[in-house]
Amino acid sequence: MEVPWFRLGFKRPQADTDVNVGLLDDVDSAFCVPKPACLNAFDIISLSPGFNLSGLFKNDVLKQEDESRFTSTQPASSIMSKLEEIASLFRFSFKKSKDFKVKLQGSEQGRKGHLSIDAEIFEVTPSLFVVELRKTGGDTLEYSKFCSQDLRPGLKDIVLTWDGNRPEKE
Amino acid sequence: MGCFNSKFTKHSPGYEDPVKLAAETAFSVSEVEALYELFKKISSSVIDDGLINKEEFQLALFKNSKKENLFADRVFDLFDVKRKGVIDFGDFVRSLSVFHPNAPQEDKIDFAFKLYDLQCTGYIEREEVKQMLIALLCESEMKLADEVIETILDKTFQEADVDQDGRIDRDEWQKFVSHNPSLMKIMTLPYLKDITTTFPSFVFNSEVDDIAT
Repeated sequence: MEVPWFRLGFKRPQADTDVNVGLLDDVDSAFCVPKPACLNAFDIISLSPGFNLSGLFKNDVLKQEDESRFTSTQPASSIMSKLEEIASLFRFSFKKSKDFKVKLQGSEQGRKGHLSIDAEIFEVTPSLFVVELRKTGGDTLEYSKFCSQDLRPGLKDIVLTWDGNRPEKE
Repeated sequence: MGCFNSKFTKHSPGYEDPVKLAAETAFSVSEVEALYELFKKISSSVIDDGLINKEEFQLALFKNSKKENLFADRVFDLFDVKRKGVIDFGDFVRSLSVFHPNAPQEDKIDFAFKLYDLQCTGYIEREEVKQMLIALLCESEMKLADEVIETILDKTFQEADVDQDGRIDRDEWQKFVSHNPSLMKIMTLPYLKDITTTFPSFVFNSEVDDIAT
């Protein structure tokens, strides 16, 4: 028992944490599951166009066409998969990051270059998520067309509601 | 400065010396002049009296003078510094200054707190947040079950209402904002830094000597 290698045997459970670094990495990623950023009540409230003073500085109707939002009860990972599915269906490149942000880029050259869209998933409650979509490049009309003809129908299965903020018609 | 006064008498009621306003706000004198161009446009759109009333504010914001919005109402009430039901030029510039990228963070946090303190009690009550949340969901046509709304409120108050008294006081708001800086996004209008390029007509109407700026 005084022979060192016996003691080594007893120390092994601790040594495991040093030796099996690779295993620990997996444990880490299993326990520290990446989560989307959380939205609290005030984050949601501040989405109102009533707070958006940029209208004071613009002559024409405030166009929110470049941005839209939808809610979903599907888990964030399912939403990601769905976006990836749509991307491949419409030949958009799909780049995702750990913080539930997605970059989509169309393969076709449009009037103002490639259509590029950013999407970000936020958690409101564990069973409610908000996805923000924003055009980051390309022609606005082409973006609107893509949204209404391809994106929205494609997302139908996972969308609870779309943000109804539309430009005022008067 | 007394000799310049006669130049300003032909301006509308509520007009204030741009040099004075520039000294008190984050704007330069020429920027205040540019804001006056904007102010003139908005304040004459329904009633040409040199003051912005609620209808004119709604018209400017939504391009629809009849559009009622809880949040725009709050902004209007805060811009109406003297509580007269109208916004004069001084109110306009001083309030917009809070939204300038260079404005002190403290002022922005303060303004936002007052925005959400619907009843002006000095506290943001849970009922007020519920009211605003429901109003937002209504305007964006997003329907959520009552339990979901309660869960959102629970989560928010769990984090923000440190002493758990059902309301958020000024200190709790300050701490909450420091942990959630995105809440201050609505309090900054980045283009206020370039306001002189937005309304070039001010260049021809400017009454302030270049030397004065």
